[in-house]
Amino acid sequence: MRGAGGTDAAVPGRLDVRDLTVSYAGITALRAVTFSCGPGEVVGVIGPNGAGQSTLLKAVLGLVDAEAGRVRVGGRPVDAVRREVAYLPQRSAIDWDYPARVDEVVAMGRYPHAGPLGRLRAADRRIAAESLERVAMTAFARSQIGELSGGQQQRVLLARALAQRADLLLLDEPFTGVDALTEQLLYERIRELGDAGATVVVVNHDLSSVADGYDRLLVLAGRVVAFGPPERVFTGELLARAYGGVPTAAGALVGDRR
Amino acid sequence: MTAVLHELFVAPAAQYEFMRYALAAVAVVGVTSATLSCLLVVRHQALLGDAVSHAVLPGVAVGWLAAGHLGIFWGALAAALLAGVAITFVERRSTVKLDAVMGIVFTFAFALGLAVISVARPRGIDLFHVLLGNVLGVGRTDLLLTAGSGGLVLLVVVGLYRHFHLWSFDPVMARAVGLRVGTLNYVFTALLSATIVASLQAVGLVLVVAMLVTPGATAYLLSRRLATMMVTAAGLGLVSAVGGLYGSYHLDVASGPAIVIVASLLFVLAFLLAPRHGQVGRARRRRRAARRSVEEDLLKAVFSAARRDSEVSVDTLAGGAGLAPPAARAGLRRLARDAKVRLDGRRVRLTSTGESEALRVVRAHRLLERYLHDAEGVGLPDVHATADLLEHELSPAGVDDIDRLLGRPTRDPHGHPIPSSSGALARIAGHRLSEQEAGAPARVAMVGDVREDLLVRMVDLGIVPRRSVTVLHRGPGRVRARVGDREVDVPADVAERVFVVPDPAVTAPPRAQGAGAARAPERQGRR
Repeated sequence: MRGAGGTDAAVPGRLDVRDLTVSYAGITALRAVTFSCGPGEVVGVIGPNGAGQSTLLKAVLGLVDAEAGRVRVGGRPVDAVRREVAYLPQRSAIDWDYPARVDEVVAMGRYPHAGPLGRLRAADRRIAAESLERVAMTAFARSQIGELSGGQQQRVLLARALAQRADLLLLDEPFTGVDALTEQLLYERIRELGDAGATVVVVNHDLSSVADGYDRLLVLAGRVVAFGPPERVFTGELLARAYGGVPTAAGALVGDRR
Repeated sequence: MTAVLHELFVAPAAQYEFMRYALAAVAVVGVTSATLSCLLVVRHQALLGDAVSHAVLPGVAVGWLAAGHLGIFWGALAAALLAGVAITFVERRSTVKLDAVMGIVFTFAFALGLAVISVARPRGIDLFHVLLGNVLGVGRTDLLLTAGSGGLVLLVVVGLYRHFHLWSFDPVMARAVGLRVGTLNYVFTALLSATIVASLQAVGLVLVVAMLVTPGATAYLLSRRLATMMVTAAGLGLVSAVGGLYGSYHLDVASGPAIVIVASLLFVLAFLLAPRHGQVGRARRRRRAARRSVEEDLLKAVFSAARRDSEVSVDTLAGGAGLAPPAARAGLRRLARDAKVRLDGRRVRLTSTGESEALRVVRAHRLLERYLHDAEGVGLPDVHATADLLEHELSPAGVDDIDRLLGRPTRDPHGHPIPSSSGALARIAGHRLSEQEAGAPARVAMVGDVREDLLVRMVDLGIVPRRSVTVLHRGPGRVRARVGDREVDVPADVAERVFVVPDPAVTAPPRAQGAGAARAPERQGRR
């Protein structure tokens, strides 16, 4: 289950990224990124700002064009399994003045599963309500999203991702700008997702909160600096490489690669 | 009255066929463009309608030259689609931003249209009518085309509602879950083009822009959801269109401007009076919130003053609540009117309603302090002021939320008891450190939170709730004490504000058990 290289197993939720290279306007944002993770794993993606973490998530989803490389989810191209993948955008990417209620936003998580004319079934509404309950926001179901605090907004976004009932979840900086209680709650829900057998990839800039809790850490600085269990990755030397910008051969240190 | 209404609204329609056609046409245009305007407004693309409508002009000219009256419709539709597609295409394939692309495309097309008209001088095209509308010239065929395109647009919007909902709220998620966002962009452009062309005769190219922005913006102020926003906008569009047309008929104003003026007046009304976003309501809410905050501060001040002294004067209260005396008196009068306090000359007492409300505020305040200190790491000297600001904003549900998430704490960070949700308040135990006998082991129960400077001193000295403290000897102006593992001098004004309780957990030294130990002045029981 520890996805150390090997074949692109057809396990739902398994993520295989191989030699992924992405460039924007001539600047390489990601260079030959390779890693794999599978069901039950919570992977933290860390690294300095601008090190390509968000780009990695978007490239996995095919939202930015990859120059080279291959992404497989459950052994298949992501286009074939989009309903099994949930993406949580950065909170700042959302217009919170948009006229929508909390319950509507969470119900959007069910849209991919809705019928041909977009009708939500009773089961979809139940799943949306349960997801809202899991982030302790049921009391706010009928609130306007713009009336919420930052932490509450982040909980709503997580509820929407939970409502997708996806095998693979890609969370872009869920902990940025949230209060301490929300951070705790988000963290518990993410851990539960992993324990329930989902694959979870979490972009996290705040190093202080990542030391434990992740099954594996992916240290990114435009390329993979390290990928492995936190106790092995979380060493001063490796972090200095990522944050200090000392150039090293891509992945030379990384046991899990190839 | 009925006669007047009949004269104003029914007679014109009954009398003239052109008026009936015109009414039907503006009704369709009002509803359709208003519905689409919602999507433009929430996507921050209000001026896309502007761009596409101006781009229609060359299509009108070429269509007329090629096929006469009917050619106008198809020429305009083709031009609008072409412009919309060009804008979407250039925006997606270059780094030039949408507003600039729109500016380029629509001025280019508009210039092209003017050039064609100035060269070919087609007789039968009245530029004034194309730009400003000529709704009274709507014929049977025009009406059918308008109703047909309008109905089609509404059908598509309703049928693809969930797609448009997700696409307009979070386009990135829409793409991530596999919605064909590119296709949806083109579909939307087609809807926009069809609406503009359908509106051509009713309001004209220049003013259709208003119908594609204003009703949506007005509804935005009035709605909490996209669906209700669309229905509201459709209603506003209908009222503007029909109202404007009657105004145009009776006052002899051009129909396009009349319709747009009504729509704009509706926006002004909503801007001023909308229940949540309106300026009037906002000012009233601000004033009400300010008053409530004053009243809550006063209740809290009466409550804590009443625990110290039996008589409470207005001036003491004003000081305790941090208010100017006139503001405090006005607030107290309001509280007395609501039967929350009883005023008896210069004395103030809480009624039972007032007391339970005061306890609610105290509970919010102390839970917030607990939260700020434990979860957000705000230092002991600063939590009080921050909680003072936040306590009035917190809803009862929010207070219970914090209580539950913190594991139902019983003390605030200063050691004050937190009232329960039912309003029960534990008694404050202990006595002042300044009165503590030397040698008896004790524990800090509570520190006064009023003087921030003294709190800073306390934290420096290590005097925080639950810390063990033993007075070594009491000198003039200071108390020598062991706090935790340190021996410190505690100034008298600090010792005044620290409350301690005997600490049975610390075993007293063997030679002086029980009460004897407490009385031995110079005992220095080491652990």
